[in-house]
Amino acid sequence: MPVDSETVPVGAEAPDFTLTAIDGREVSLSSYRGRPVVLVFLRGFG
Amino acid sequence: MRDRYGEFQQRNAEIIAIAPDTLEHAQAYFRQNDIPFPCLADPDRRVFRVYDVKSAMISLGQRPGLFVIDGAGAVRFAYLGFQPWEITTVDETLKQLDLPYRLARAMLRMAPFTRYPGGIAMLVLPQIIDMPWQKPRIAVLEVSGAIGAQVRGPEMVRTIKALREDERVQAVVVEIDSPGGSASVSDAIFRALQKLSAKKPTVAFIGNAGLSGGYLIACGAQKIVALPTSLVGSIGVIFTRPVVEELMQKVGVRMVTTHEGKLKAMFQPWKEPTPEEQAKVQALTEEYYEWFVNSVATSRNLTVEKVREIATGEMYSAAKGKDIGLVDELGDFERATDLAKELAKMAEEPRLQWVRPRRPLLERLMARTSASMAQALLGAVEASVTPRIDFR
Repeated sequence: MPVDSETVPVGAEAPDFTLTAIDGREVSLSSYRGRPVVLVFLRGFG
Repeated sequence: MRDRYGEFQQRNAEIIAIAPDTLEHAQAYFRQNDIPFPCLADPDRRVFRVYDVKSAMISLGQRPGLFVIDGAGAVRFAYLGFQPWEITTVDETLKQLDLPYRLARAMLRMAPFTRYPGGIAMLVLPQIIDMPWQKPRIAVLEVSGAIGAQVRGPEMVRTIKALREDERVQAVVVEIDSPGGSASVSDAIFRALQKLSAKKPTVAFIGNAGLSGGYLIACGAQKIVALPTSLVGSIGVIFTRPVVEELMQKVGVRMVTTHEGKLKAMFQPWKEPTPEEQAKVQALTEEYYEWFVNSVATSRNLTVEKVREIATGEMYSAAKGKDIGLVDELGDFERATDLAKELAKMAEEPRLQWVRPRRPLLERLMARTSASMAQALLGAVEASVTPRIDFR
């Protein structure tokens, strides 16, 4: 059964982060304010 | 998700993938597979931890995680699988993206009824349970005042048509308190009600006066309920116009009219009608009377002879009206709504919704008093100057 995230429940503000994208840019979640974002956590490439 | 990226773009949504791997590995994978959306590398799984995606319970890789975050930065949807194969579908994700917009549209539709406090929990409700604004109801339409002046034809007809088309309205009670008025406006409302009655149960309730044109409107409903002390009937036609010929002579004013068409001047207020003109007006009045009598006979299921007998222009108490077939039942407003409920075969106690035609903009802008004063004055002037045919 899928479960809710304990640290980030529905309705909460999504925690911001900054990571490096594969094209080398530094990308922050907050830079997408104003449009919806689908955040997909990959399971790795193995 | 890669192949349906366009559907996300249509919704102005961005997909951000976060890989629990080094930048090099992510680059290789994304380029090799030609994935159009951005991918961020999180080799030490910092963000995975923050979002509770990394779980110690699973030894084999990460658990699947997907979050939908709205434009305001709030999480709308979270999906965390326990097992690696528990992933959400693209369709489900798109549905979640559409949800806020669908709800916004639903909110707009229900805006005329009520305002709801914000909050996601409230917003999601319309999809889950039957909300009050979707429940079946009995509409109560007020027809109050002089027909033509206070009860306006076009607005009333539009409102009745809307009631006919509103699926939630299961029955209509028309609450009438009117001494009558314009013949043509009464006729228009009567016809609109007949059409409504053909589709839904309708009950007219006369609480004070349902006279002449007001009574005709009641005939548009399937059943008539009246308070025993109310007045009904007064079926007849009256044609009035002032003649101010003598007054004009007294003040020494002579009117000169130029007209083409032999009887064009027959309605001029400053001259006595000729016998021919009087005969014409009488014929016109008779024509309207016949039509009125026939309409009552047909809708009340009475013979024309019987109605003509009743239609002396006199008014009856509702009690007497019931004896002669002008009224179906004596009772109060509650009896009228109960009857409507019975006719509509509604199981539970119905919700009543009062309906009022939209008033013209000018009237709504002006204060209540000034508008109604102006209206009354206008009505009085109109009534005394223009010749009209009335059911009153």
